[in-house]
Amino acid sequence: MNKMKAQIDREMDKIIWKPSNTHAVMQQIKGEKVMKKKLSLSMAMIIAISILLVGAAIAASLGVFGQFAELPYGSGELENLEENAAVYGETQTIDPTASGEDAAGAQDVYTAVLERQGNRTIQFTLEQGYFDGNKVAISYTIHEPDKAEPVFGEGLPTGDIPWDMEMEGGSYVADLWPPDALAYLDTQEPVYVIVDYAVLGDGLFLADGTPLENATSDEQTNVDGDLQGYKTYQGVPEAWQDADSIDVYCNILYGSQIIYQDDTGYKVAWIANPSQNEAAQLTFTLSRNSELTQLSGAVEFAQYSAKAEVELSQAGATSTITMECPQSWVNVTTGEGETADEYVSYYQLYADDVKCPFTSGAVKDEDATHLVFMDEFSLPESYETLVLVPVYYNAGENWDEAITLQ
Amino acid sequence: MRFSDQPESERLLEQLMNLYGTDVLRMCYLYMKDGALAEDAAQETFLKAYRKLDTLRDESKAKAWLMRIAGNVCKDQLRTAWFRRVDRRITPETLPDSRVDVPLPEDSLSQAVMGLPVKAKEAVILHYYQGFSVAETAVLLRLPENTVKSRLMRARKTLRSVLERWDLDE
Repeated sequence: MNKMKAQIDREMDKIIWKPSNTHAVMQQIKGEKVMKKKLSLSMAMIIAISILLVGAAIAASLGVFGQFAELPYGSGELENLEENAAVYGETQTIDPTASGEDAAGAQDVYTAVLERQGNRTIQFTLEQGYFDGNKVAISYTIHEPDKAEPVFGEGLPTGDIPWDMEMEGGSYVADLWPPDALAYLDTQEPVYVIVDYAVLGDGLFLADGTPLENATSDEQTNVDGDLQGYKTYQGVPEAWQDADSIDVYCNILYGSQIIYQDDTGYKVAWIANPSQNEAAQLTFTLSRNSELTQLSGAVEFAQYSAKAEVELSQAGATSTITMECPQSWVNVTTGEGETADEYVSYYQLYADDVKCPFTSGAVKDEDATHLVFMDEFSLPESYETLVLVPVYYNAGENWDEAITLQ
Repeated sequence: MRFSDQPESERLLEQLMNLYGTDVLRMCYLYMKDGALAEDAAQETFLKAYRKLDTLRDESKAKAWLMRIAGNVCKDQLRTAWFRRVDRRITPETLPDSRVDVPLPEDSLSQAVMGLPVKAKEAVILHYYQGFSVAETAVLLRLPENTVKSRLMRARKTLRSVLERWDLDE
């Protein structure tokens, strides 16, 4: 079957492990970076509803950003946000009672699930918020005061259920589901479980509908059973970068999940009341937490030139370095064509000779001879000069080619 | 990538990424059917491998060890995806493009393999694509050899038309 491998390899010849992948992994194991990737087009349309995550006990003295920063994979970015974000504690209540008939009188399971939504009260609390003209970040808690217990039923649930996923064979697997629900599904008899969910959609939008780009996020269920999480965004349009505050809105998605399982496989459906349009839109105002200072610098050498723009805020430094370089350097990133043995791999920010901790970053090819390095660093409390030092793949840092920022 | 004071474990990981990065990435792509998700899964595979390096007793079996981790990572990520649902308020026009665009023809063998049920797919990937024997595949999947054989047979049946098209049905 070597022919089969050869054929698949031919078809997948563009799928190559690139030095940038190695860079990303090595940065993460250095403990300098934990950043969830941007969602792909297909998955960005999908909103996590991790309704059943069981979180560890959380220190009450910290804000939500700080609690996530304390986790083993917490990042310097979260520590900065904990320190610099404003505490809001603003709660908005979603009361999906519009459909409100009595679920007990419903004709079938599907209708009962729709009516079940009418008995819910969902509270969204904006815990912390950060806006500096470049970055936006929020932390939140979603609480249901009278959260209903899961429903356990026998046989195929009745009604016209729009199954989202059907799997032949196997069992529904969810490592963090309540063991009793999984055990119930695993009886090999035709049974179903209904569980409610309420989650924050990934999107955050300016009042005119402009979406901000979700950069990082995480969520977990705390010891009280509330969902807590944070999201950070970038891509604030230029027109808003000097604003004292921004009005934004987000969507809370809610409904119920039905899982049916028998000895042939299982089906999953996410049911939301169509009259509620499956989501509630919540609006809030974020005040500016930090001024943005912009620095720049440039260098030119025989082999390459580079221009750096750096934005400094309370949350740290964001650098964007555009480099004109040999095509063989760009090829290292794209994995195509002749690649260089030695090249600038990334940049490291120094504040008065002190290495600034790297918090997240990426490199991309702009065209055949241009690379763009985009990185974020934490900053010390005080310093006089900032310098970006190129780090070569083999030789390491080269201070003779450093970019001094002014 | 080279770091100063790079400990031995990091050097070994770097070596593994250089040797098997593309293999792992392609395997993840066959599972995930999406370039960006495959890239995330492959990176996660090496992170997990790094944390478990002390369990790698025999470096000559590193590929098999990595493929097992990659398979588990992909299945975990797919399970997570099953917890998700579409937000119909967000339209494709408002979203950034996928970072990895890998156009594959609809009638390609890769597409056909990706379309297999997960159980058949992982047997096909490990045996036919990664070149592990049936016995090795059985160990990797923790299944009896006969179960692997029957899954491979069913998969070949499903793939018959596309294998014939590419003159691969030996």
